[in-house]
Amino acid sequence: MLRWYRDRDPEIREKPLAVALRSLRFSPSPGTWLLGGAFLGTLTSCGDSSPVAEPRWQEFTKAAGVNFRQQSGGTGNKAMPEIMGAGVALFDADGDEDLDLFCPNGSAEAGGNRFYRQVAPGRFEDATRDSGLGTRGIAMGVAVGDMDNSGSQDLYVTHVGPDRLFRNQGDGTFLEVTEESGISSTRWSSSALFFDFDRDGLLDLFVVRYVDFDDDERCFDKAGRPDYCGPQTMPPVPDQLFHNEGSGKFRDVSDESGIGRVAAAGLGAVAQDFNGDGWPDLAVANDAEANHLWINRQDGTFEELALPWGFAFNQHGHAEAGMGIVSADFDGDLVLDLFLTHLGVETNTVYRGVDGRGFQDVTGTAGVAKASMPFTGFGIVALDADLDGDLDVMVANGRVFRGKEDHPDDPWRTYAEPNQWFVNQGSGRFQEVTSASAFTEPVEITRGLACGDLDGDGDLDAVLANVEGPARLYRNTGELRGSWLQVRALDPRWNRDAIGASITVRAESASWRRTIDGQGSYQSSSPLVAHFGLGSADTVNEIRVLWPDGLEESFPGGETNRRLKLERGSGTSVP
Amino acid sequence: MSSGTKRRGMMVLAAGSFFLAATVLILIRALDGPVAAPPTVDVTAMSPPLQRAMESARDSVEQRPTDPEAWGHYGALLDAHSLHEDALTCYQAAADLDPENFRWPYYSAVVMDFLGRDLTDIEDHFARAREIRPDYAPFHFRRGEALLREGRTELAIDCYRRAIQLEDDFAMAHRGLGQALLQTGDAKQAQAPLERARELTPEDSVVHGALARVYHLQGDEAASARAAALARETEPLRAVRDSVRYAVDELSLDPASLDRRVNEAIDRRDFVRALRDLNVLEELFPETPLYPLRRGVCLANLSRNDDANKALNRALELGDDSGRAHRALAKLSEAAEDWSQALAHHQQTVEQQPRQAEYRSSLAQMLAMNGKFEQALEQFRVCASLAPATAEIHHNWGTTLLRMSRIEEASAHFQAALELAPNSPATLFNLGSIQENQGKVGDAVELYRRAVPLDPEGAAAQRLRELGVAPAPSGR
Repeated sequence: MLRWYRDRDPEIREKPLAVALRSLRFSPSPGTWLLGGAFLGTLTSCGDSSPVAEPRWQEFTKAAGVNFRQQSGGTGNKAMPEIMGAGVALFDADGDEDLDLFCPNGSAEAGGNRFYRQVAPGRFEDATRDSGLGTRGIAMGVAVGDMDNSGSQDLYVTHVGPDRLFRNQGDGTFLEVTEESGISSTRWSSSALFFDFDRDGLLDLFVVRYVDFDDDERCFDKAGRPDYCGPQTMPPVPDQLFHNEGSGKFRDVSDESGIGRVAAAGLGAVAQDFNGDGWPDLAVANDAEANHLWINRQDGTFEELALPWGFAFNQHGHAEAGMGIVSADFDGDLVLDLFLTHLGVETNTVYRGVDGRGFQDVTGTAGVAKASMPFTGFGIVALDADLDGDLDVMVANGRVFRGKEDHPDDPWRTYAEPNQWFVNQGSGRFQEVTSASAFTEPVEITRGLACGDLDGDGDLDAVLANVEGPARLYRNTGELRGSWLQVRALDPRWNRDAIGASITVRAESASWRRTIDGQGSYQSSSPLVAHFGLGSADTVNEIRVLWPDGLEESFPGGETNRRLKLERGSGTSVP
Repeated sequence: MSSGTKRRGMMVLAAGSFFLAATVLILIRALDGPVAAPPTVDVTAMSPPLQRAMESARDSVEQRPTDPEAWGHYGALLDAHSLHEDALTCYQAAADLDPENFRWPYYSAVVMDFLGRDLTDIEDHFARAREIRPDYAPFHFRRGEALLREGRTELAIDCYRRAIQLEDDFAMAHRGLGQALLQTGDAKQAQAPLERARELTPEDSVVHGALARVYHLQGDEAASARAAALARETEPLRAVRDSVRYAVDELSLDPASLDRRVNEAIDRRDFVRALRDLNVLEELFPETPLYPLRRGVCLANLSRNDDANKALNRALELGDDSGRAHRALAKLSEAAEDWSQALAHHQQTVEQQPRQAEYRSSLAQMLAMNGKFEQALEQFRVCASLAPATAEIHHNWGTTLLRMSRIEEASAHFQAALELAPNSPATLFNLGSIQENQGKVGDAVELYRRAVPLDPEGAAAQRLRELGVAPAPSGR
């Protein structure tokens, strides 16, 4: 069938001037996690500002030993999944407290997924062969969570076609358990996330789904040239919710929860307690349709309230092409905000959380409207890269519709765009930093994006995934303007990270709120660690943890530049 | 002075004159308009109609580089095909040549807004446009939208208010005002303009969505839920009522725009306009029967029956099996009073779409026209089983029976038709005729009188005049 759509993308931005990569630096030794609330001494120190400002992001993919190159399965037919690309996951697969890397691959015929184990700070080895993760298929996204409370993190990989669930055998090798789990998601899934929606201690699974893909559909751009179809050309499909029944079994509760009753072309999702009732809700970024905000009714069902909560549409009342999503406190008011990436000519949109009353589109005052309109955003992560106490944003870009210029020698080039780096000026206003850096310099089709402390030096690094291009690893080498804390929240009853826990750190002059989730971005997964940039604070007064089951505990403060493991039950209960 | 010196002097003078003339020419050219070449776009991958349009527009600029309309047209063509940067270049050139024309700064501002350019630059163009034409409501609306997006909410509010002042029924301006007020956190203030927008455009999902938020913020969850439900049931109103900007959209040769324009033109019975775009669509998709079919229907509506015949037969050659080509050909045959040909086409229509009661009803009528009454009645029976509650079928069935002098049966079908459609003047007249023939003149007159207000110049009115009866009872 022939279809067409509006090509609304403007042309790509001029490529910034290239800069030579500077020599790579690694901290001498990674920090180790300290158990409990006490601080036991400085392990690394990188809180002082560097005397000479270096580019924020330096690529170290090659030095890291990562050579993955995504294959889209493109045959020239412009099949939609090719251009939607894949995500990426950073997680500790083998329990050695450093981050490993998983890269889904997008071609059913070519090489499968790749898994890299970190063997030394910033050094990886391809461990795909023995990992059990190197399956083939049109893999899209990845969710990380300890589904069986075994103490090791399992993987759910979404596909165009049947999804796969991999159980971690405790040593960083995985066993596919899709069939025995009872999970069946056989159409086009994009993002997925683990969360405990009924607070029974077992992680449930939310799967975002896109469209009922028809490989025979052919689309054209405004000039009549063959191009990728938009989501409106195919019927959307409802998302899925699987309840963890224990013993590795899941039950599809999509319909009974209400979630399966609404179809939309979903691409990104986060689970957070948006209304402050202690139960996790869901925000879903839908492509060219109203976003969804599923408020948890605490009885196993959800109510969709995006419209009254001001999250369905932007401030003009328009549905935007939601791709990536991240939830974090950008303006420092301790209320969660949402930041979504969209198609070119649309803005990326910032929704400020208005305590308990929904969201307000503050894109204009956040300073991201103009900067984001020329680009099609996908992956997005919020991180305090310069440790000044507010959250900055990395955005992965790349068109889905062809650009002005054709490049017969490289048909992908017309879709390529540079990535963007936004620095928070404080209070949630962003400034795009356009100076050349290894992250913003390549003009590629970037999709997946995740951040984590790859080299163990306390600040956050990043990894991205390209369509028909390499995965790239970036080390944070820019000027640091403060100290940091990394907090893991563990619930010993369940022997795992407390996904959904909200951590608030209080210092003399400020407070910061982060959550343990690792979700969001686009089809990607970041580590289950709350990372705090603390600005000039060299000590903190208190750390509060609001556990997913509603218990709030206070832990003593202390010095900064530490990694902490906070265990439920070891703090002081807050009434 | 030696002759050599004189010659040298002459040469210097000639060279100086030539230099001066050349300088003057360059200056004149520079003052006259832009000397830069028009943008060149890669047309190789474009569809042939678009290639031709692009090349023609560019040629016009090259031939008439000082003609702002040539630049503007090329810009608009580029703009309509998402080549915005190049469009902007052309609009700027047009504005340089014709600084008093509202379109060029207005188009430039719209394109710059679309590209996400710096608000200060956009505002410069908006300001220039406003100097030229301060009273154009869509301008103020668009400016409001640009300002709102950049967080300049108070200025945006002023713009929406100005647009409303100029055109009180400008629904999108009321909507924008409500949304901007909502951005200030004043849900109560936002309610009135949004409710006014809802009154003007009750099918706009954007308005209902904003009202859902307004009511929620004021604690009226029931009203919020109702508005949210309406938002889900309706579609967003996106097209701005902007006749100036519409000229750009008109140039778009992408299939979706062409298709939309064809539908709009046919809706307003502008078949000439529809044909223009259908020709392009047919060139873009030469193997698709839909476009010659639609072209044939338009040509038939313009009474260009020979051309219509050719187009419809082309649709059939391409495999049209919708029944519509045969149906249109049948109507053309009817117009030519070629009843047997019309019958053949109606039969093929029904072969292609056997479950379409409307097509079968037409076949039945044509069978009756050709004197094949029993076959006609059989078709009406099938029609009634496919669409039992269709007044038209009963009317035509009754008319056929009337022609067969099966008066009682005809009367029953006219009665059935009237139950389904009490205000059909044709059915009232036919039933009246039966009554009159049966000597029930009073009943007939009553039926004719019911038909007159529905069709004052129709057969019933004429019959009443022939009977010497007033069209309405005395005292009315």
